[in-house]
Amino acid sequence: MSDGTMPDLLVLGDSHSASLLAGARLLGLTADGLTFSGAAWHEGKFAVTRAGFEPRNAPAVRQHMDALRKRMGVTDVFASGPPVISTMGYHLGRLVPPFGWNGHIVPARDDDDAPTVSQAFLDAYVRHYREPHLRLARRLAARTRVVIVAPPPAFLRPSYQAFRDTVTGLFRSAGLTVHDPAADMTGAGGVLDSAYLQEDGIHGTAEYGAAVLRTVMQRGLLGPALSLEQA
Amino acid sequence: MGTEQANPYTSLPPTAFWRPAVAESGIFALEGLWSSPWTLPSDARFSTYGSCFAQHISRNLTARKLAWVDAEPAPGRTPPAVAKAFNYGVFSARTGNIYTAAQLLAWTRLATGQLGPDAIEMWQDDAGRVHDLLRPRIEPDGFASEAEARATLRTTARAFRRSFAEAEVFIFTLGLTEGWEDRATGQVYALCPGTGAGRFDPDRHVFCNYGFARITDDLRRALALMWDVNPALKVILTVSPVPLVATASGNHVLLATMESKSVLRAVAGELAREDARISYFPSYEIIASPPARAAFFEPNLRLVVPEGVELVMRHFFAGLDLSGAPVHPATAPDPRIAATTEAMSREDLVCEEIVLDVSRHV
Repeated sequence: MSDGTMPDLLVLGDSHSASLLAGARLLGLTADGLTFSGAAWHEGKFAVTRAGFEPRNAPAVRQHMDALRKRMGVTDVFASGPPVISTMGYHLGRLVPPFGWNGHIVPARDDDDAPTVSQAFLDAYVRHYREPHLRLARRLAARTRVVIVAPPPAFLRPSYQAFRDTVTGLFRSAGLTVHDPAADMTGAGGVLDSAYLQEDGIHGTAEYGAAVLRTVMQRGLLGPALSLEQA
Repeated sequence: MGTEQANPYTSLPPTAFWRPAVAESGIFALEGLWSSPWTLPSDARFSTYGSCFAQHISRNLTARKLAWVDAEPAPGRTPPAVAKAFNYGVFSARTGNIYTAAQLLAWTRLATGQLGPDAIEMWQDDAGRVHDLLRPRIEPDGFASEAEARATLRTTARAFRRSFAEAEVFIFTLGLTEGWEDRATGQVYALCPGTGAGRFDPDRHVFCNYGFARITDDLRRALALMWDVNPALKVILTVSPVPLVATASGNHVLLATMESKSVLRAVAGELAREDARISYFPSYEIIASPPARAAFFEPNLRLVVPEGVELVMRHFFAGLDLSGAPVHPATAPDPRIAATTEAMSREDLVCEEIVLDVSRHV
């Protein structure tokens, strides 16, 4: 990609955005973006400044951001025009395990004595850790089309679905567009077909990313330039 | 002038006489108000419940690094503000304030399976939120559904059981004699329905000013259930010095307060005399008796100032005997934390590899 070229689509997120980047290319779209680890996302190593999205306290990520700016020839990359598809805000692998350190699961199960909490508690818990991501998403959405994509529904583990739904609810109640692939890509078992998953069983493949993007575009969520007819 | 004949008073210590022990000593020099009748292990675990004054006891136990039982800790990494808003860490389980012996009995019956969570009345407000009338203020805004309310009630009932099953000492602060019940079901309410949660129904909701006999019986029954589970449990009863906010007795609130505290004090004293497993600790006397001259009340003459709480706690810890050998093995690190930390590290490695791969191919 030469300097100053605007891609069709920008991707911003954690490791789950890799499949979206790869999927975009499978669909013949030009896509570029910034991905960094869920740990850094969870720890809030970012901000939105006058120069736009800025990684914080993450020199390696900063280097990638600078390289992206150079490729695109703009400073405020994620407000430069192309729609943004993002996996920010979930990072469930950092959020859910510590929640369970005192044995809690949510929701409660009839056959389990594990302690549980209310949805209101979960909302407060998630909001505390995801308020920075919500603020970032809202600020980006004020400047360009942003679609948040929930992570691949790859497994059924205690509490993960509740957290996933809570993050989705948090973003949607703030007026953000969220696409959850679980709504139309899971079978009777509630998980994704393993053919869409990489060997680690957690991350989606390029085909998965393409399928997600196809649905998002069929729904017109990325704007008229990236809309597809419904199949 | 005749010499005094020998009588039972001549051999009593100075603490038995008002002039030297109280009038001449002053409130800050009072001594010997309480000493624990038991030698407890140095790592004795304490569970605490009761009215709002009881919260001071839990805070002070943890501040002095004694083993306070937190049988219902918040989920891992719960932010302190969220834990506080949802009433974690106030009592040994999330029961909310337990004001009366009748409430304590209800909780103990829930904990031991005599009463199921389904027996507790729930109320739905106009916004659709559901409130548990045994602990109507446990969540900032009630529950999303009755199922959710009952699920968390089950969690707390199990925690309440753990808190007396695993403790050496159960400390209960008696707060009120006045309460409300459902005439038909016998459900005890933490607050009068209609005050904060619920809707008052004069045909259903009956005022109870529990008397000496009923309170004593409820406490005996509650403690009996606890001792079935933990025969070695020691019990400390204390009476909150905080006056009533309001009385439905028809009496002046000052009279209602004095009657309430007097009955509770008499009950606690009676039970402590009849059972060596029970001791009475004099929170009430330290704050509200003549030598204190009401100095430990806020201007509203209800809440206790920090200096008063400090004095109460000073007497409590001075009287505690923790000279016994420890009985609990050293706590091993929770394997769940190590396991999830390791899993997160592994997942981080995978995620980093994917991110690096992306950056190489952009």
